[in-house]
Amino acid sequence: MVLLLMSLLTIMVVALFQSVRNEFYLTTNHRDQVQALYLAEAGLVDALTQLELNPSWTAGFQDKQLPGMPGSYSVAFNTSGSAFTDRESVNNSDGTQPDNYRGADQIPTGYCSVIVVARVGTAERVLEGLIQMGGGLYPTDFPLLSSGRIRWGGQVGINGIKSLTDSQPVPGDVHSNYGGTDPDLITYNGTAGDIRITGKVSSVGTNPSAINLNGYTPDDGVENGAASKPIQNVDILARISQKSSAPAPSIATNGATDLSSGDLYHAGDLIINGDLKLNGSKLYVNGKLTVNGSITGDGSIYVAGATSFHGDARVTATSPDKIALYSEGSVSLSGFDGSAYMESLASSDPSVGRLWNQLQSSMGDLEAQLTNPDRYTLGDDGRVDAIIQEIGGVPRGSAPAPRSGRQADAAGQLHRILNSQPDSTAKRALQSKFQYLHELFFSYEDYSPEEYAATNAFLADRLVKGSFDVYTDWSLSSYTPFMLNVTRSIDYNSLGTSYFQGLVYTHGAIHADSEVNILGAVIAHDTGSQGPVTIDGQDLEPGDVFLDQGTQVTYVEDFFHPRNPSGGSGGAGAKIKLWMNR
Amino acid sequence: MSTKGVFLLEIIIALGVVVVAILGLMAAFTAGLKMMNESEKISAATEIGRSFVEQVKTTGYDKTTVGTYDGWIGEPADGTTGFPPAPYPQVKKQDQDYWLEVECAQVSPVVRMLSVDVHWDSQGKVTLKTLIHQ
Repeated sequence: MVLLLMSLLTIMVVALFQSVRNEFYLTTNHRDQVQALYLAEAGLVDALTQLELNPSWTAGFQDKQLPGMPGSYSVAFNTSGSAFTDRESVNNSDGTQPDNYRGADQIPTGYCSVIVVARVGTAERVLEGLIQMGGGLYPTDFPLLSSGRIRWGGQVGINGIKSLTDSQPVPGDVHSNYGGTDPDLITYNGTAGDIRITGKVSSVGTNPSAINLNGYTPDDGVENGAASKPIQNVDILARISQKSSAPAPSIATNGATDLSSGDLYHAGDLIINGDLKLNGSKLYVNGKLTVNGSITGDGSIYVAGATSFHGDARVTATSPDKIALYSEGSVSLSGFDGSAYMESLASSDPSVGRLWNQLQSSMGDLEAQLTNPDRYTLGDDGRVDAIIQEIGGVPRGSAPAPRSGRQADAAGQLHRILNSQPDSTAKRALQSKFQYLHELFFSYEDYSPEEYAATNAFLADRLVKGSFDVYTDWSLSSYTPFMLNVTRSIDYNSLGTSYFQGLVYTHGAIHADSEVNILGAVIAHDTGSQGPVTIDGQDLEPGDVFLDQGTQVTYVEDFFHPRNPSGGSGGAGAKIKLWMNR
Repeated sequence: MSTKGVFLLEIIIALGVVVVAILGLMAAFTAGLKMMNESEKISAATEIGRSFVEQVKTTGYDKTTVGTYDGWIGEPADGTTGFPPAPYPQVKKQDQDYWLEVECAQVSPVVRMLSVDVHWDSQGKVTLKTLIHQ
């Protein structure tokens, strides 16, 4: 009986002990779970801090501990882009890694998926957070940074400000990583009064004349033999190829192209003859991009080949990454290319082609006549008198008819033909040019009051309507050099201006004939993917920067190193948009 | 040979076995009770600590003040920010007093480390730590 009672008692006590021990295990496990949860949250904050300091951070943590706390947390990034596990984080701040363990295209550009694994004892917590990167996705401290040579002309202004809403100045430094012992790696060929750089100009080149600013000294001086500055590489081609499933842009054959918002992908080269308007668009061109007209609006442009803007450009990057233009090939910013526009028009309309070819041929003949004048060049009914009828004259009286196979007033006719074309900067610029030619080469009735008025104006060194007719009718040979210069100065292009708000980045060279105004930064980074190019007679190596008609680059620090609200360093550009506890 | 002595010896041994068994069972029972008591305190302290950390996280980085605050010795909260918030310095739960020891340290310009120890005696405590971003 006693043994029976003892056995029963033993069973009860052992059962009670087991139960209590299980409860104790559950309690301590719960404690460890809570501790691990807060460790995982600490890991997420730690990762956020790292990403604020370096948006391309992928180093991760391995068993990192908080002092005096049991357990640790880890963050591991998958940088290969394949074979994801559900414990691997992905940094898609630059748009090159949109996939994660959930599948393809899961992480938006400018976001980072951080997975923190925290362990305390046997407890493990996994936290998955989606971090939105703020501005400053491309870390740079320079308004102008290149791996090649830098050449300036015209007026130059390089400075820096804190942000678009805080004009507190920051240094406007310029640096070239182009090394060697050659002189003139960074040059300025304008006058000293036309250049102002509020920071330092430095070159890796060791020649004492590596930096030649024509006598000008920047606010913070110059430095030869400076250390090479790191330039973060951007895989532009990968970004473009990842958008290959985006809708294609609707491009007008001639005239204005109004793009829709969002991602747009064009396979192959893209030539736009007319104005291009971005409307919050991100245009990805898997080839070369040429715009013969103005390009305006809010958006970003990614180009796999060379980029050529012939006309005014005004592009404002509104996306958080502040990318205005990423071009794998060289960037050419020039005035409006009327020849390309006209040739495009001529290809679809033979009558335009004949007039356009005639106009150019007549201008060439005129220049040849004025270059080597003889006794048949001038005079009423002279050779010049015949040529000007073809360009802009309306034959009257004794004026000679156009030469065989040619028409009168090609410029006036082209002006009228363009009336039927869609409105664009190109059309307006060319119509203005053709009107100018039509008037300059207009023929008045001989001895008419209008011709006398034009003669008096011309003799007063004023170019007016009918000036060429006056010049040749009166055989004013002393004006031949002047008229030759006038003839040579006539082109169908204009200088234009280029304004970019954001980052302009290329793996090729940058060449600008237009005035360049950039609120952000310019980076020319030679990665070996591009070869040398010749643009407008200038031989440029990848990474070279040639800005010839005036340059204003204002570095906006907030674009590249956003500050935290209390003004400290590091910044609060990134933020945790959402997180989940697994 | 008499069997009376053997019977007595058997009784003594049996009693000894029973006593040892009862002592063992009592020891196990006592240990179980202690463990159960400890579990209750760990559980309560964990919950107090978790609730405290959540409250600090909810009020945010700007409501924290760098420093060490020991509720065991009755250190007052910061007069300006009120940090650490209630239940600092002490809370009673199921007739048991728990004291909070809080440390807030600046680890980067925008990050602070929050550490909270919830004590129920000089030996027993639960520690929770995390980082709070500005």
